[in-house]
Amino acid sequence: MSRWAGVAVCCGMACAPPQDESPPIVWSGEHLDFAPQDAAAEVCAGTLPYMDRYMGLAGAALDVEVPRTLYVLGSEEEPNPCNAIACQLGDTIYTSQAPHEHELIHAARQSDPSAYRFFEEGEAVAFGGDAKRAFNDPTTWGSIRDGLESCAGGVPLADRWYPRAGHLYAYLRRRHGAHATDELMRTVPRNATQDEAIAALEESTGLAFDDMIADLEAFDPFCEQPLWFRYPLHPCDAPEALRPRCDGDIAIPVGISLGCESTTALGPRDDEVFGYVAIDIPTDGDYRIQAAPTGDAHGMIEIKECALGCSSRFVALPYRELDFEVWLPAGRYSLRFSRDADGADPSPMAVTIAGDCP
Amino acid sequence: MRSQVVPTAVRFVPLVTTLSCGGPPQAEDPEYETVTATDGLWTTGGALDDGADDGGPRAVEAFCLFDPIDDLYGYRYQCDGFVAVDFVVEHPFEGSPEIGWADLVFGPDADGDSYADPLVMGCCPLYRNNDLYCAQPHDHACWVDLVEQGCRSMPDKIEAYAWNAFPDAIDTAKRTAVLKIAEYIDEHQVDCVVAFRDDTGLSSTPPACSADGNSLDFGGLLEVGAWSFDPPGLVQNVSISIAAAEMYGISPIDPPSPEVCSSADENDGTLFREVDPPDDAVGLHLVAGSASVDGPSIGGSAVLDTASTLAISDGALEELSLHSSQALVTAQGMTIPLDGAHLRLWERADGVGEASTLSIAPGTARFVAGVSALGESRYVDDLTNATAITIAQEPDGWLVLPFDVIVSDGETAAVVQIGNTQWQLDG
Repeated sequence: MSRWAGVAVCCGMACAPPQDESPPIVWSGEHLDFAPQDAAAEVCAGTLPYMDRYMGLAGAALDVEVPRTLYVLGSEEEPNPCNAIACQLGDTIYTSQAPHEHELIHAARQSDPSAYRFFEEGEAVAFGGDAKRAFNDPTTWGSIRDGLESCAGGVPLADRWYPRAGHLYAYLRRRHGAHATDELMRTVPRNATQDEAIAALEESTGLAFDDMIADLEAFDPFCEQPLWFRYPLHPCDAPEALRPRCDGDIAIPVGISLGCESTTALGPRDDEVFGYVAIDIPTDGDYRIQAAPTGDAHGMIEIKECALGCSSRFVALPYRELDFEVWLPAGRYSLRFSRDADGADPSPMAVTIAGDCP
Repeated sequence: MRSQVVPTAVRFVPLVTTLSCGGPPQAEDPEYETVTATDGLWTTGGALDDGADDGGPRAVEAFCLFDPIDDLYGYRYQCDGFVAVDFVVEHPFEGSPEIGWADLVFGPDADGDSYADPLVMGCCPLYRNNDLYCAQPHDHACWVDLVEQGCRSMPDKIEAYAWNAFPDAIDTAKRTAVLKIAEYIDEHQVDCVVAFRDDTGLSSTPPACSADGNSLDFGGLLEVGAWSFDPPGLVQNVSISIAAAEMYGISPIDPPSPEVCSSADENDGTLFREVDPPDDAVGLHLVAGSASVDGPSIGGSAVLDTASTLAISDGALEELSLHSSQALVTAQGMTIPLDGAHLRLWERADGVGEASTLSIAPGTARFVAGVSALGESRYVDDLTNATAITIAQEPDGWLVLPFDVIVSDGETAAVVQIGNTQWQLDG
């Protein structure tokens, strides 16, 4: 089953969580309390601070006051109130994954009235969608109009519409500004009709619906993987994640430790441990990316431009013997390092990114 | 890691001069034009079908179909390119580690490939001539299907290599060792695809353009791919890697309009090689037969082994694999005993069935030939029958009448004549 399947069933439900059934809180941050169930997997040292920070960054990006949230980590075998892999109920997140950025976005937004599901889930996908969809998954098809209709009146949004919803949100925010998406989240209630949702879109963009769709496709043609169009709030908006690339005219290693005890290690999730840093690329150009140190270490590095939309740059590269030249437009980038969770003792993973060191 | 592909003719310089020949001829297929990575440097947006759902099937708009999706269809595009695969295997015999190669060439000009039944394909939105090639999903889809088709074809390719490189009885152990690799790959297709599609970043990385309109170097990603495993048996530490990979483009571009398709699964039954007899084919094994070679500077004869096999169906030669471990060749005044020699049908050859006879017209059947002598092995492909192949059912079995295969290096030619061969039903 896709890890997205079922998320829509109760993401963002307004009903009150069964607080008295929650396991004890074992960690608290600025925004987040963490309460693992008995069978929950151990998390790597960086996971909880990362999730706490992610909520703070979401509050800033969405311009909302982030409520204190309880994060109940379970396992896929244990029952939870969601009847799904994950959900956010009131001020509690139930999930078997950590981190789960999608639910963190829902939790950050919960202080606002419940919004039309196509927009609400779109926001969580656009700012949260770190998880990969199965490559051969029948991802999404059909029109935005049909997607808007599918959740009219508060009907849960079906799994397959999530990428479409995320892509529309990404377009709206990038093309028409944060005020457009904020207005939609604020003014289109969950139980609105399709016509009301379309009218709100026309109001917020100043375009007739069909013209807006044409503009969307011309401005940022759809791509099926949210990974490709998402905005990774962490590390992109986290100044502490930014790493230098050059020391004078020398490209220096940009790296991370993925030993689970390291404060930069996140997960395990989907059988991998991962972590993020950010870099700046000051000028458009070809950049040579090499593993440093080189070797046979397995793992991946994903380079994602800190921008919403399918036209933002994304490249996934195998770490082993990595030596690859890629064209990158100027901007800030997220570097996501990952390794198998059950792999051998990890050595630090690092890359040099050469091309413009003065 | 090699940076460019080494042509077959260079890699496998024939041991016997008359088996020397160049690469496969580039057949003309004027029906379709190939669009390349440098074509289509205009940009306009493609309209997204956002009309109300009328309930009928609709064309895919933004991505290619790797698996069928209800009510969606795409357009079939034939991919044009090649990939060179290296494999290394350790075994307990002399000559370990064994190093082998397999080239997979595909596209409108590639022998054995066709638009109707493409070796590598994308089932994608209509290609937009006015949009950048690199910004459309077709190229990426070709790379993904290449990995899947390559993994699916690899067992046959390695099996062919095993027979080509070690055709003689002396090297049976080596051949068996290499054949074990093919068996392992056949049973671990998912691992193969993960190694070359997912672990290379190929599946995760979307199409993208550089400032000057070039595609991302998906071939460079694939070339990082490597798959190592340790199969049961005498072979160990098998490593398969990609020496080189290129994608030249897709076809057709409009006009003509492409055919519709349900997904890239449609070519799953099409392999880079070759012979794959249907279940209802008649399988035969050799009872007796011989072959000879005759040319300006070479001559020789061979007794064919009873391990040779033949398969026929209604109207086609499905398989023919002739082996000899008793062959002598005279070249440049020297008589050389061959450790082994073989001639193997490369792909199904259509013929005409009439009563109890099947006839394959001259030039219709394609073969690969291999020899092993003096401790070295070579093979050549792209051979065809110079005379008709006639297979007749007799009261006590089957008879293949003599036929010739021409082997040429472009200057001189030799005739390999397969004499009368008698066959019996398998089992």
